[in-house]
This record gives sequence, C-alpha cells and structure tokens, in this order.
Amino acid sequence: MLKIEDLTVNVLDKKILDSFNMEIPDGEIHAVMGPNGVGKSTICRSILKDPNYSIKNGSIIYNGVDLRDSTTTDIARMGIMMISQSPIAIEGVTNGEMLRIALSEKNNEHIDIFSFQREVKEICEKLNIPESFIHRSINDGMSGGERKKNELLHVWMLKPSFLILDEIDSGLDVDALKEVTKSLKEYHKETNCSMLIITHNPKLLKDLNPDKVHILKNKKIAKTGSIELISEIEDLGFKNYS
Amino acid sequence: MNKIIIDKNEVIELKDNAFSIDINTSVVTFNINGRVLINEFSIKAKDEVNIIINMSNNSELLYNRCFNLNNMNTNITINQDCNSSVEFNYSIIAKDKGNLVFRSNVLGNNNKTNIKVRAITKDKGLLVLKCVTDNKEKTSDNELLESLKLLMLNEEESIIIPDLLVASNEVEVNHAATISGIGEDELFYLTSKGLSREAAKELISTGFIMNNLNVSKKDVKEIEGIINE
Repeated sequence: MLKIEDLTVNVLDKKILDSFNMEIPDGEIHAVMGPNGVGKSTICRSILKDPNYSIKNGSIIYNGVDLRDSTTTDIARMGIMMISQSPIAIEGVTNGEMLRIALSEKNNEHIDIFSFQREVKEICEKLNIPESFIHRSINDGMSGGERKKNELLHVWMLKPSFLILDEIDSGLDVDALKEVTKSLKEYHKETNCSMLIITHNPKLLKDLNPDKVHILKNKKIAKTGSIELISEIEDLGFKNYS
Repeated sequence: MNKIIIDKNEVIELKDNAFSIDINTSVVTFNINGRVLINEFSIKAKDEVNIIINMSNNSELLYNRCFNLNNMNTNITINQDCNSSVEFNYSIIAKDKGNLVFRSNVLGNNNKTNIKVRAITKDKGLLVLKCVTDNKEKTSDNELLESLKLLMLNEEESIIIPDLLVASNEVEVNHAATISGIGEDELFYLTSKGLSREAAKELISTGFIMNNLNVSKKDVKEIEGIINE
C-alpha cells in the first residue's frame, strides 16, 4: 500500500503540489490525468526522491515505511520503480552491468551468470527485442520505442512491486504502444503489482483498465472516479474540474 | 598479438599487424605502414614520454591507450602526409598533476584524424590537456576531429585547451571539449534502479573510460583491472 498524505512539493521554490493526498492499495492500478504542467510527474519524482523535487510537508508511506527518511536506492530496493516519459541514455554503462549490480546489491548475493542470461533470453523473446540489448549501453542510440522496451526489460528483471509509468506512451507509435501495453498487462497479471499511471492517452488507460482514475488540478486531486471518468474527460476536457 | 617492450629511445617500424606495447623510455618514434593496431594498457606511477607517430601514405592506425597513473608528462605527435587514417583513443585516470599534449600535423590531402581523449581526475589528479590540430595550407579533403572530455571526481581545477590551426578552406575540422562531474540525472536514474550511489558512480566512470576504447572483448577484462586498481 502506498499512502500519500498532505504532500507539499516545491521545485525551485515554486509550489507544485499542495496538501496532496492519494492511496493506492496493493495490486491496484491508479491513473492520474490532468492538464499539462499541473504536477503529475512531480508525484512520481517525489515518491522516488528525485533531488530536484523538494518535499516541504506531508508524508509518503510505502508498506509502513516513510519514504522521506529513505534514499532513492532504498526506495528502489523496496520495490518501487519508474519508467519516465523520456528515459535518459547512459553512454558506456550496459544494461547487463547495471542489472547484475542492481540484483546483486539488492539480494546481497552473487548473481549466477548462466541463470541471469537464461532469464534475459526469455524476457527478450517476450518483449520481441534482440538478446543483444543486454550488452548495449542503457538507452544509448535507441529509438523512443526501443527505450521503452529497454525499460520493460529492467522491469521484468528487477521485478518491482510498485510500478510508476510517467507518460510511457510518449513517443510510441500505435504498434509499439500495443506491445508495451501487452507486456504491462502481463506483468501485472503475473505479479499483481500496484501501478501508478500518468498519461493523456485514453486508449492506454482503457487497455490497462485502472481501478481508479484521478484528475489533478490546482495542485491537488480535483476528482476521483472509475474508468468511466476517462470518457467524461474525453467529452468535456479538464475545464470543469477545480 | 605481438608484444613489444620498448626500453630505449628508438625508431620502430610497425607494419600490417596488431601490437601490444609497453613503453619504458622517454622518446619513441613509430613509423606506421599499412594497417596497424596498437594497444597500450598500463598502471604506472609516472608517464614521462614523447611519442612520435609518422604515418606513411595509405596507412591506417588504431591506437588504444589506457592508463591509470599518478603523474604524467606526455607529448604525442602525429604526422600525416596523404591518404592516411588515425584513430587515437586515449583513456586516462589521473591521480596527480599531469600534462598531456597532442599535436596532429596534417601536411597533405585526404587524411582522417580522430583523437578522442576521456580523462578522469580523482584524488589529487589535475590535468592540463592540450590538443593542437595543425592542418597546413594547400591541403584538401581532410577530416579532423578532436574530442576531449574530462570527468572530474575531485575538486582540482583541470584545463582543456583545444587548438585548431586550419590554413585551408577545403577541410573539415571539428572539436568537442567538455569538463563535468558525474551528472545528478544519471545518478538518480541508476539509484532509482536500486544501485547504491557508490556503485552508480563507479559504473558511470568505468563506462566513460571503457566506451572510448575500440577494443576486442578479450581486452576488456585487462582494462577493467587497470581502471579499478
């Protein structure tokens, strides 16, 4: 369970979220929609303690642990992971190296290279990407679609229990979006992970079928509803919510 | 790969082959003929050396140099006449004061020169890195690149001086020079995947050094050993 209470977050002294509240029980999928620039990504970045986002007040509790007292590394090791809208590239650091170290440090044990490679092979087949992705520098020289699939490779390998998808559909064509959505549905079905989805894309939400949809406006949740809220937003836009 | 240990100042002819070299002298001249690969990887307390490379016409050189050292005063001069190609990939971890000067003299036509330096300064490492590309007049069709990047893991004030001396209109000459620390965005990305900050920093700096070298898989272990010493 992730519980955000009275959260106030500043970016460069500008208040982006003010007394923001949200609760995501285990296994549930929640979506946050809202106009551009209202602070949707701020929620994601604050959960992971991005140093550019300053938590001024309130708490973020995950499975009973206050994340304000944790480092980004600790939070990731608790099982929270984010795929951002434009994942950065890191020249010279391969997926394989990063994943082996992440798994080894998290589990405090040596990674058996043969079972690691077997798992990579299975996941690459599932994601329809070449096995050579594991030897490539993280997101370096990859297209938008490849980057998202590369991030999904990380998801399947690191097995987060809480997945944050910050505009994962950004930069994806119709076919790539279908593949990404299929993989996310499969991952959710297999692990019963919780998901927080930030998106403007009704198609993605209809496919992922969230338990709740929230509208963020004026620095807090303006309305919460079921998946039907998506059709309402499609018809009326965000102007009627305050 | 042929192993050459150079213990005295001399002129060495290298032709159509791959060489692993170890320089233990102050001046060495390589005359390059045909297609030549040189790998030079080492951990050293000092590197006081002048390397002169003379490219014969229609020759190609790939030189990978990776050093983890305390102190350096290194001058590398590359002389090219016509139709030659040089890719010089130099990765350094500098732990004390040092000077590295590259000088590329391009005298004729249709040459390619690609000098790529990736340096990390740590502990007391302070590097003055100068690269002079001198493309003489009445030359044409040369493509010359200086790519100099310095990753600072300490507070010392290192300097990069890229110099392009171009006396002809019919050549393409570029330079890129950057000095930076490890980016917070990169650290956030890796820690958000569960890596400790220390492991993330090590991974980024190792990748920075390794990615510059155009080496085979079997050389990677040796270089990793040098970097992580």
